[in-house]
Amino acid sequence: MKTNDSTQIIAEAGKQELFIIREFDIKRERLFEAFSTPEILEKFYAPFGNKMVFNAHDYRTGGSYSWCNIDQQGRILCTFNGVIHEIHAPERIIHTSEFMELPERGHVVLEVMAFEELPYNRTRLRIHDVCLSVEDRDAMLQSGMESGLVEIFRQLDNLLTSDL
Amino acid sequence: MEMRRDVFQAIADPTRRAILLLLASQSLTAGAIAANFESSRPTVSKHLSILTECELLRAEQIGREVYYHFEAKRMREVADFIEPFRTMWDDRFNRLEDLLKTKKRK
Repeated sequence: MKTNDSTQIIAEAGKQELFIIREFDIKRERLFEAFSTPEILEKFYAPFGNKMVFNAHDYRTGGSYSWCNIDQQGRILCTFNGVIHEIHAPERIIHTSEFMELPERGHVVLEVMAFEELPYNRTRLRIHDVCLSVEDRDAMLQSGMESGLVEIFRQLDNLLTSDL
Repeated sequence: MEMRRDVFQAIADPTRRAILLLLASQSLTAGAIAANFESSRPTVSKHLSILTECELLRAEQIGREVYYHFEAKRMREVADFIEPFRTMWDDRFNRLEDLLKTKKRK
């Protein structure tokens, strides 16, 4: 593990925003393409061995998208919908994202992805997420924890099933 | 390890998180805390005792009243609650890097 390749999260207490920062040993154009091409997103974006499947996608300024997170048994875990405010190759993507499983609509996140060119064909990706409230931001941070627990339970399930 | 899990359970509850946020800026009595929530007084008391057991709050008797103080130091110890979120993104980025590097070699 190269330490300079690890992901940094900046989330100050009591704020509505968070930052996700990572450097890649990949040229900016290629990295940008990966985040703006549904066929490539489907290959890496879904967490914990799940599948990302687009219901619809129109990746252009003014476009929109909808994708499902599907587990290994083919069950739909959740859906994310959003609109694309701007795709400015190869430096910036601005879109919204809404986690559709919440009991009420409107908890949308504004996401700005900035691709910064570094020497030696490296690229720094800086994702800036802005939520409607501190509670929404904290819930989003904790979603990793919940998914992590879901994953642990799933592994446990598999273990118990394979013992039969 | 067990203590750590208890703390995570404590902060996983939305009402308890709201109590922590409320007390982050001021120390209050149980009655004053309960006045901020729709939950019944006994429910709020239960939350307060869980948070006190996890040492996220400290109860102090002042005269006839018990005041609850937010334990900022303890909260910082569990600040790594964002670690699973970070890991999720790190895994995602690692997959992307592997994917693009494999493609490049073709």
